[in-house]
Amino acid sequence: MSNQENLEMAHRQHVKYFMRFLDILPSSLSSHDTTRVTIAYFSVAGLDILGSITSISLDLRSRIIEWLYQLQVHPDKETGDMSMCGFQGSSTVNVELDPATAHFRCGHLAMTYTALCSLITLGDDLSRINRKALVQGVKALQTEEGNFAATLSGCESDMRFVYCAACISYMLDDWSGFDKDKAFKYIVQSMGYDYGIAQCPELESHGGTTFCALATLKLTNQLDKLTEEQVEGLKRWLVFRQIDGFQGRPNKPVDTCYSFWVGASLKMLNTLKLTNYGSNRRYVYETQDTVVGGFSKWPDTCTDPMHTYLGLAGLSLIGERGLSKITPTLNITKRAHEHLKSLHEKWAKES
Amino acid sequence: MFLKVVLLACVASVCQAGGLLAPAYGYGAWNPYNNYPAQPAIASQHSNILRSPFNLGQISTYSKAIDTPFSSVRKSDVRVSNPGVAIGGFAPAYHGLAAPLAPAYHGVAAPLVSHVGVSPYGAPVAKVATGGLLGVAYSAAPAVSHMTYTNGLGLAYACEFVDNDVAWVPYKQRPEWIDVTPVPENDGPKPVVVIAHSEKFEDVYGYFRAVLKSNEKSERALQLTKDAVELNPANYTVWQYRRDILKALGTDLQPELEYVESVITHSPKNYQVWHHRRVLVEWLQDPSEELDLTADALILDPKNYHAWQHRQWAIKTFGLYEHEMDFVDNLINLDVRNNSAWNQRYFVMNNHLGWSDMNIQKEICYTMEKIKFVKNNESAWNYLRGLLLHDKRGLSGNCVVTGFCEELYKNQCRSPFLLAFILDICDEAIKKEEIGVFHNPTRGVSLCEDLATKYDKIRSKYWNYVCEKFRKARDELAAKEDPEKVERTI
Repeated sequence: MSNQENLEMAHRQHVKYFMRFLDILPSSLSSHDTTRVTIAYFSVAGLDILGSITSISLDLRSRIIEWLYQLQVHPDKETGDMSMCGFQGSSTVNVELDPATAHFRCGHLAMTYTALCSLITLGDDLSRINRKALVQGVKALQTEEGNFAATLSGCESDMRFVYCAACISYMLDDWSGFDKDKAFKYIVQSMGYDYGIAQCPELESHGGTTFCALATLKLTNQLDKLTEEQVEGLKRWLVFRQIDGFQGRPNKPVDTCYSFWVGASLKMLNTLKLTNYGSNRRYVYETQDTVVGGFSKWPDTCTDPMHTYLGLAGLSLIGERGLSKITPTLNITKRAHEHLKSLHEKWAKES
Repeated sequence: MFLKVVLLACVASVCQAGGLLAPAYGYGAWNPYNNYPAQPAIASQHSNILRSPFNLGQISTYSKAIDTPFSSVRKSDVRVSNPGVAIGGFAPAYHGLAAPLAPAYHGVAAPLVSHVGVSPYGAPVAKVATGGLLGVAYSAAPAVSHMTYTNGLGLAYACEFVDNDVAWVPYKQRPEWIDVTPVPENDGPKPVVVIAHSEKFEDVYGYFRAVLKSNEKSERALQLTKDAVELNPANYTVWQYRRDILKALGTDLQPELEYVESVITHSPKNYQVWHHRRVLVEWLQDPSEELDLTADALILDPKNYHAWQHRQWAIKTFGLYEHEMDFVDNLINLDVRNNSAWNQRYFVMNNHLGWSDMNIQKEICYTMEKIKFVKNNESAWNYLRGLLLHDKRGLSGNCVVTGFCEELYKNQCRSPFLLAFILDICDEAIKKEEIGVFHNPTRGVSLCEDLATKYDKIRSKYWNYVCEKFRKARDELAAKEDPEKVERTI
């Protein structure tokens, strides 16, 4: 199916691809039921990278925005408790619950992060976001160790959610729910003997978690707290991930998504320019489905919205023509980021 | 017919994935698989998990191929967390919905749906114990296996097993649930990213919401959570509520451990199941099964991050270090490039055996042996560098290591990892002002140039960047040695 020499962007097909995911999905994707917001994010942000945000009609835009806001969990009416505030990933548990089980209706950091990204990308003014409550929701999830759990209702805590918490705090322009020192300590402890960064201390270094850690350091202005040895070690570990495209760990197969995870990490260290763009680009294109749109992790395998979005984001980082530039830390377009900055200015004036 | 075509295409692609793996990931100019005992000709095994964003849900595919001179067996299995039985009744409705999206259904969703789509002609197929084929079949989810067998005479057999839950009775028809009114999902007036769930899904989750609302903690509610997680093992709310029920009822947790083990076998890359397992072990304060459980998962996928994370947690929490080095040795012997295993080696050294001089030397010898076996192995080189973080003489001061590197170099080894290692030794020697015949700025410059132009061209820009540092050091050294000469050049 893939033509190795085909380096043409199937732009129109990708637009259609994302539009389909915004609409309806088959029942075989039921296991994605609790994470529908992330699918919305990949589609909306993907269309934005394609420069096709206008493919979303005004009607669809307002549908997406209304649907997202409906998933915002508000403070407890009785007690005013805000610890469960955030966004849910779907309406599966979006029901009024009695006090005894009320904590089950709670936000999830990955959903809050991707809901905010989607709203910003769609040009919403975030006026219906309860900023204070969301920040308290973030605060409730930071652990003693310095990392974050995703949700109040029984969940693991690791580097992924440190990143989500940092993005939420940045986007709401309020760091009072995020202990930067503790997070820094956790990140440094999770750096391996090979200078890559893992999901938690002593685990194997990983491209995805290295991105989460570096983006967090960048968003919290703490990148310069790393030593020169650590920074150079990270650069080395990251550039060695390039085979043609990028792999996530040493001696693992290349995968489209690491063109973003590793690429964006390198970009934040101002080192992406030292990699081989041509090979990277060729690999990502090999995983493109030119017939119905989408990218997959490997050539000739099934496409999915995550790899499609990250494939495009990875190409955008290396300056692919026809794609919008992105802000690697937040993983949204520069255009959307500018909109966010204008909101920050507005909030600053209001306060 | 359409479904059939899609099905065939999908099976082909699943099978292909395993075979493709080796050639598709050629390692550019140098091939790290050079000295590696070739196995793919005999058998290939491939498993792939299509995961949702942030790895919160999954669809797993698994394929295996065994070829001998006389026969060839291909087997593939795709599992999704969704009830096959509903497809028969529900598929037409869905087709109606999807009609305007026909292309979407083809290319995008189809590869994922197609195996479920088998059921129209698979409906009357008797329930086959998939357990025999694939280990544990814990669920009512459709486990559709495809198996073809070709013998040496070209006779081929193909069969399909469809594990539909024919005996399924919806909750709304169960007399013991008559007192409960299901709570439908409220997705708002105009939802987006709608999943056309099966009737079974709607039924089970309608009752789950009702039970959650009334805070019912009973045996029947416990059973309900089991049905709910089978439909979506990534639903962390259901798992948490299940734990609440277990606690409230004081249920014997031993069967629960066995249950979650079967789910892990089924969904080995699902965060929620591993978390459930961890909480149970914490409650019981009994880690006796954890090493075996994770070992089993690591047999299937020696780099399964979840399994390693759980294993490290159990070992650390309960001090189970005693036999861990043997486990690691074994894995490294099986695959010297298993980076996860090397990482675990470091974990055992760091937390258990310790960094005494003798231990460091022992580990250095072990690692050098492994590098001699496969020189182009980043994992081993990284580990060697990690060891020397604990050697007070540093990277450049251990003559066993520096001698080993120079010997390899002399014998024409030009692995980028070796050259990068020597470069780092040079760098440290310069910083420590211990410049020698082998380790000096000029050597650094020439190594960088070799890497950039000959041995690691894909990173040529990076090596040129590193080279700058050595050029600068070389010029500074020259200035120090002969200030007049530099003055003259200026």
